[in-house]
Amino acid sequence: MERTLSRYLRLATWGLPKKKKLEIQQELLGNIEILSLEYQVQGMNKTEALQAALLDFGKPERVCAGMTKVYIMPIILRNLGLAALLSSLGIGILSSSTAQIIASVTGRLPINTCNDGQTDAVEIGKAWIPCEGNYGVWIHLPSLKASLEPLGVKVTTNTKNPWLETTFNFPDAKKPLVIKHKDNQNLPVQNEQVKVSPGYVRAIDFFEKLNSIGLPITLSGWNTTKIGVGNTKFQLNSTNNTVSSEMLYFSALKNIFWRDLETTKSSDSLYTVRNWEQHTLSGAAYPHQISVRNVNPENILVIVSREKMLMQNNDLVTMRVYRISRPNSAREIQFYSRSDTINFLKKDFSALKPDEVINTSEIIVKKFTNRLDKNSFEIIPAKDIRILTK
Amino acid sequence: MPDNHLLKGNLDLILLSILEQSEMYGLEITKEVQAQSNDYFKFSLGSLYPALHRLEQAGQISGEFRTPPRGGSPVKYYQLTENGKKALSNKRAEFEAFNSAIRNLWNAR
Repeated sequence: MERTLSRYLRLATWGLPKKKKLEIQQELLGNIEILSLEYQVQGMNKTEALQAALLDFGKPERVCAGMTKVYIMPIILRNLGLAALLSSLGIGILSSSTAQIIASVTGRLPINTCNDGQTDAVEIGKAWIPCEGNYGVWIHLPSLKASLEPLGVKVTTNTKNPWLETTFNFPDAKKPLVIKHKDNQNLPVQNEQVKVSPGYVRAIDFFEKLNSIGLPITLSGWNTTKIGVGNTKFQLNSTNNTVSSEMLYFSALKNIFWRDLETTKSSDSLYTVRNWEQHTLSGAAYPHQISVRNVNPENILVIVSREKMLMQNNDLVTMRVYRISRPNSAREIQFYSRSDTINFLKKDFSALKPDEVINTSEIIVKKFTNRLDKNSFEIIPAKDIRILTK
Repeated sequence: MPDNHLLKGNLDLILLSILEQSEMYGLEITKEVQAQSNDYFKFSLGSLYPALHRLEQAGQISGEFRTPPRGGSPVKYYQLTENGKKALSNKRAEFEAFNSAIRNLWNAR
């Protein structure tokens, strides 16, 4: 009996700071004892009474999860803030998950990929470089090849024009993944970059092609995202740099919009995926979202084509929830954005002249909000939420 | 039993309201809430304690270990702080305004 109780208390306070752990154990113990005594008064023996009391208290993991949110999350948030600050100062922090790296992919930023002053960076040791705008995330193909080949992926390139066409054959895939530079012609800057720096592929193109090779795709983690392509697993970071992979999540999540806005493909709606890609929330909010009704938001499961993708819920960020639905539709999408995004949305864009250039993001927001107004989409800011639970 | 979201959204209001009456420990709170609401509210004890600690961290309630009247291990008694009283007053006003607005909608039919 003692063991049952101490195990319960231990599990209920697992991972908490020692002082807090002892305090909460003491509190729970006192209350469990009282409830247990009450059951004994009703005729149960000690063992039965304790079991009944513990049953009433529910799973210890649930208590633990609740206490973790109260006592651990704020610490993590503070540390994340510190890490971001150090990172912005150029001080790298060694990833704690380095030991789990299956294959690191390194790369460099093609010249002029970004338009925000980070232009001439080279060899900065990141596989994925987030820049302003949605298209500044590239992967270095030679690095990818070097990482994937030891995992059994056969990678071939055109010998006459290396990297202008690259083929990846993943084990058990129904068809190869072929990257051609001519696939990336929808932005002038990309064409320029391809001419200057062949050997790069836009992250979103790479991932979308992954979806078509007939293997289940999994993503887990945010800054040190592990990608699973069938049984092949690799990680998007180098040993001393974490990397953000919002484009991967975005690429997968747009399928939700097709499904939940009740369109089967983008051409069925004015609100094409293209539109979604362009509004500013795609960069700022999607990575931290997303819960579609009827989907368990604790470990968000989203459907990527016919495959499953697991996105770890980011419950470290205080967010707002928006609900979007078509008029008269029973279905809706909820998505979550950080408060800074909300403030951005609150700006008065009505004063903007049609062609006035403030910056790309603001114009995109203006277009987005106009679209919402004109087409009767509902956008309902709800209460701040801190965490998603069942 | 109310909808889970409804309960969760008003949990703080419920806890602050019950503690406004007198100081109580966790188990006592669930029992009082259940009794006074004619069994409408039934808390899972597992989610009650984190909620109490969250309110305590927010400075709205404070806790103190004491031995209960019947003896045994000490339990943590919670009571409203001044901040908690203000928070309760705000939450109550919010709730009443919301309730009133909904009733207006129904009455407009």
